Amino acid sequence: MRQKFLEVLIVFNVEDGQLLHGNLNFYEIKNKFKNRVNLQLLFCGSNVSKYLDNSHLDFYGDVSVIEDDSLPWNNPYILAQNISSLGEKNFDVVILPHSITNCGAAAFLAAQFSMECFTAINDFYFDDETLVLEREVFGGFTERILCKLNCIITWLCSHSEPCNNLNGAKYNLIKKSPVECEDLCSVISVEKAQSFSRLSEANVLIAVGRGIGSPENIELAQELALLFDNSSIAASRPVCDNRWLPYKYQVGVTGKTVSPALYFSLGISGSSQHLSGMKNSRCIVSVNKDRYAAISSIADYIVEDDIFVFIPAFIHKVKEKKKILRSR
Amino acid sequence: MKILVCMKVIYDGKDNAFPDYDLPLRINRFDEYALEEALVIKDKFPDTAIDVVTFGYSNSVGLLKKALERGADSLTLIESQEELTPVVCAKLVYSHFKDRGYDIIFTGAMAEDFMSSSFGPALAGFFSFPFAVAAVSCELVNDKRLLVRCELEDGIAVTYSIKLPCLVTMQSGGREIRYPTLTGKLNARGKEAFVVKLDQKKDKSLSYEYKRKKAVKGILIEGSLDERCEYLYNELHKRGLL
Repeated sequence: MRQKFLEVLIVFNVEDGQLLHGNLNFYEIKNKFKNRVNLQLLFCGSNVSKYLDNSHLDFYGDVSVIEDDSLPWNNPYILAQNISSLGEKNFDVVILPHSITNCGAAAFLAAQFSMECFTAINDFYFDDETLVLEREVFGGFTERILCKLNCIITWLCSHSEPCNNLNGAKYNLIKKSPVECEDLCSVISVEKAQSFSRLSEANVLIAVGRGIGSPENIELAQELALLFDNSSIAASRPVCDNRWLPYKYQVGVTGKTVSPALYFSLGISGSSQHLSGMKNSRCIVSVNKDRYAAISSIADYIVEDDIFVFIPAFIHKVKEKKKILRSR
Repeated sequence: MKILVCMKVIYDGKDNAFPDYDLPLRINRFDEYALEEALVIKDKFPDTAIDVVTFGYSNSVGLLKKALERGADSLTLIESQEELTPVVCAKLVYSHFKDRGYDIIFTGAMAEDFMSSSFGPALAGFFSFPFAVAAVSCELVNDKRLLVRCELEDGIAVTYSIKLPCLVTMQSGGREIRYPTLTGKLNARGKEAFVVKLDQKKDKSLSYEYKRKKAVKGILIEGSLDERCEYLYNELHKRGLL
């Protein structure tokens, strides 16, 4: 990385006037690079103008917009082709919010631009001419990558609220996608998963992971859920893959993104894909045999125990307490 | 039809021991689905040739012979002693296979150890192939296009029609993985893995550190079983959740 201002591109995905995958805060990004950065923003997707008109863009720099309502923007190939159409400019760092689509687009672009690619980055900072990237790998380990190369990253950004002031910025609007790739990859159908509003409406989610062991044991989670008002059970992807619960119960990148008052996880180790779907929960309880499981990095309360020992005892305790409260 | 399937062998660290190189090996689960998808195409079009490539440890070969037993035609190991980034691995695979004229490349949606989801799309980048990610099933249409059903964020399922040659990364949930048949096992006996030895040095501009989180963010509830239940009840009660 050269000892000068870094050229950084931030990509935002917009679908029908709505910002997707969280909002990357460009002030925070500037600080992370110690203000030695030239930021360029790229908004791409459908009905982007509607989003920008309703925003207050307080940004003085290059803003590009690629708006094409007819393109399948959730295809990483189409997205990557459009980002690469920005031209020959050499970016030191390209940042996208983390999502399945953006991971694919980032890696494709990295290969085409001879850059490196690192995905699901939890945090990053710039120190001594080195970009330091932190990400979770399995087993609750944090991988710290010290990178002196040009790279593309997808960031597990935690902001759910808008945090950029987009007031009055001027942008270069490209009304039609400049790339012809529809013949190579076109959309035949789009289906929303069977709607299961309980997951987003419930105040308390009892989520089960592979640690639950077998479908019969899910009864234990259901019994726990009955102790809470407005509760539902939920699951991690491996539980749904094993057909222990239908996919409509799945929380995570390919499932539902939730933010209940209480997320009570049973036997979930916490892949980055799962965590990104529930990390905004207001209170997280994790019961797991391994206190260092990745979910512990975001949990408020950690119980290191076998769920089949702790949960029956906890259910008994709660019932006992409720009985006492009722008898008063 | 020529298909390349990229498979990775990973250390079976369960959830609590990594990187521990004494652990047993296993095939990355998502790559098993990649192979299965290629085999489903071969079931319909028996003259399909499936090449499997793996990257990394020399002791991967024994495990990946299962791919031959299940119906793959050849197995190549690109042997490297270094842990390389997915983009560098993709570049090396590309440099060895770029002239083979593949119609479809299948990879797993991610490796379960580093969870990058970037090897497949990077390989598509080097081949300049259109691609789709996180697919659960594929169907070949007129030898020209692949109908690919992908499950993306927020439970959205999209079906794409992609022109060949293309690359697809597979995830779980679409199909059952088949067991090798006796005929498959007998056929695989005579097949050897091709081994390509690499002297690829790790890029000095990159270095890695692994740190087990010693401190958890929240409160680790300790004490006897009853004390822990009592404590958690009180905390949830204070928060108005119980």
